[in-house]
Amino acid sequence: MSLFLLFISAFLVNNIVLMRFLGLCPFFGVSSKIETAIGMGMSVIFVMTLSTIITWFLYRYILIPFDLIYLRTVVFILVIASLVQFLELFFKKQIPGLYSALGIFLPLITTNCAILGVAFLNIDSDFGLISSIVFAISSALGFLLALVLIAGIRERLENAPIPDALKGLPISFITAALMALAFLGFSGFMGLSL
Amino acid sequence: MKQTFLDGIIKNNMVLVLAIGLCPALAVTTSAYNGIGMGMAVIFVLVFSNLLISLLRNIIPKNLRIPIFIIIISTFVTIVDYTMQAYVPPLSRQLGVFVPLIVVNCGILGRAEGYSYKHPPHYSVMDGLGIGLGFTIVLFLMGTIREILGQGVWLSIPGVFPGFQVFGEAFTNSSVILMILPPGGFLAIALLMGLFNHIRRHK
Amino acid sequence: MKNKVREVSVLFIVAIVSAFLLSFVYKNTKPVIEEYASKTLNENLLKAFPDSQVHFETVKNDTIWKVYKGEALVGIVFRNGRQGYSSLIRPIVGVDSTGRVIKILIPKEGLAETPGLGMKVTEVWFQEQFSGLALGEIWLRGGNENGKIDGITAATISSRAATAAVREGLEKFKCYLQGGVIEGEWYVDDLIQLSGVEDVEELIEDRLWKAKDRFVYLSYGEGFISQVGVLVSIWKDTVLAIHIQCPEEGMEETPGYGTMVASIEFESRFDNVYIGDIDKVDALSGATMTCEAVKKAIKSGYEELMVGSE
Repeated sequence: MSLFLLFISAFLVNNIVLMRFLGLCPFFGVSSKIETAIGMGMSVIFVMTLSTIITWFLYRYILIPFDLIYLRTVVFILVIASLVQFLELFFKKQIPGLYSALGIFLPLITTNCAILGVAFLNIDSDFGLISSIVFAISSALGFLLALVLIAGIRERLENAPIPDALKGLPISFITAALMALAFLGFSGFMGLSL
Repeated sequence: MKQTFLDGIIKNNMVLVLAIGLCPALAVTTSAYNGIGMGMAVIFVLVFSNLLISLLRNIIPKNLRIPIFIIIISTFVTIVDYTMQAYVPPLSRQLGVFVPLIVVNCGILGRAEGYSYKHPPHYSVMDGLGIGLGFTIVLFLMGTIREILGQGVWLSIPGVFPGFQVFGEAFTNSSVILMILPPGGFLAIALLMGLFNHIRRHK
Repeated sequence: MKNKVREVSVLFIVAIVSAFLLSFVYKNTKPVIEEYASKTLNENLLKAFPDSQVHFETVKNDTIWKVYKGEALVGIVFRNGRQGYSSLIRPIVGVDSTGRVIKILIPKEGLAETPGLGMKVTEVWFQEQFSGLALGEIWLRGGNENGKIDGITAATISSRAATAAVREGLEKFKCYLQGGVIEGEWYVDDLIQLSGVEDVEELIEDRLWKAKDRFVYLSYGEGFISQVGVLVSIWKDTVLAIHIQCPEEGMEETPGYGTMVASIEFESRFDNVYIGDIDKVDALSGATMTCEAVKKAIKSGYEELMVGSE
């Protein structure tokens, strides 16, 4: 599959949040304001790309050659957790501007299953390095897109009359259902899937 | 102790109250059987990691507790993953990447940090059982709603049991396919959570 | 300080215990997992080629198997994929010795067509239509005048993809029925062309030949998704000409990208190039990995040649 098709596939057709159900906790947790949604999305793009590169090399050049694939879950999650910790310290010391923008989201990212999920999907799909990076970036962009879209809708929902029982999360789920329905329209688009 | 168990199921319900562990709750619940399978895997991981962390709570240093929790939890997750691949391969294929992803279910790390690191083993095990069972019940209900509406059958097990016909042959042939597609997952949980809120409010 | 050492050693011990535990679990479950995989595969092959007296010989993993009854080749089973509506449709197809389809099987596993519509390709009535058909008949009715397959209502893309996967696979793999192209011997024709003489002397089996004053060697390089074979004719330190395995000869790089290297234009870039300058040859855009594979193959083959001649 060409890289462009891979991009469209991961960005829209198999949108990581709405079609693959990865990263739902932050999707509903930090999507009440557009601004925070963008901050979260940016941090995810950053961490997902870096962690994909690191885990790809680890898997190819350490876990496979030494027949240690059974350690992949343990190793990957530790790598991601340390990476996030390291980035937080690094930003705080070296790039305070970026830290004030993204810093508060970083601790939440370790337990964002999209990051680990994409690392696993890359391995299961047997992607090369370039494809892995493209897949990671487009998945993260897809996450940003979905997050910003739902944040926009939720801001408007604040003033809408909603039955008591559905206030808060349930109505957000219904919103997400409608968005997923719309994204379903992309399937079959350019004959794509993964 | 009984209270710890019951709290885990209702008051601290992972999905409906705390809204965590949403990814597997939505992704794998296209059938009731898948829901139970995922729930069992989570119960196993929760109970054993809670037990171990609680036993070791006086040895685990405070500064390094998070990496140690992560190692313990991911060890149990990998054990479950390989065991399922070996002994229930069709189920393991269905659940796919969401079995290893149990490790990032914030509920489990949260329980380790918030409960078992501070409580004795028997309480921690009860807490793990309760939380895990609460999670399983929700997944089972989600799977039930989606499977019945989406496929017209209930409790089907691939290759073993075709499932109970619920609305008869005619419905099975033209079921609400949407419910087993991604949007159906969001709809089912919205419905379930709304109902749960409604009942709690009027009690 | 003492406390630090203690803390870190606790972490260390936990990690070691975890690793041991997991290696134990892995060792014990691996055989069971593999046994299940081979059992499922065998069941699927038997469904596509229902005959209890045959045995299957894998030619290429998950792609092509030869079917033998005793010593005699009685058919093949192949698996070929084609993009459907929202997933890859990969039928397993049994073919008899006359090139007719015996049975096809489209496993549900890994298939994500629309439930109730595209998913119907997994139903028995759809798959049974293929039994007994010859190559020219495997088209949807209306798609071709000889077409004998009824498509699924409202799921044209999936039906068309399933049909095309069977047809194209049959076209691609039917050579295995006559013994045909044997894996690893694709280069025979090219060898004579490249060496310029009829009587080449084989020095090392399947790898090195001498033709008059020059050597011809066969070498492989790791490409984007597969091994790329390169045949190199060399005189002293200078590459005279190369031939790169093309898709018809079994090269499996990304169609339209990696496969572009197997062109006369690209091959001619290596004509009369000093072996140390191989890396300076321009790569094709869009096929960098495959170009690298070709260069690697040329260099590694040359190194082996040098070691051998010393």
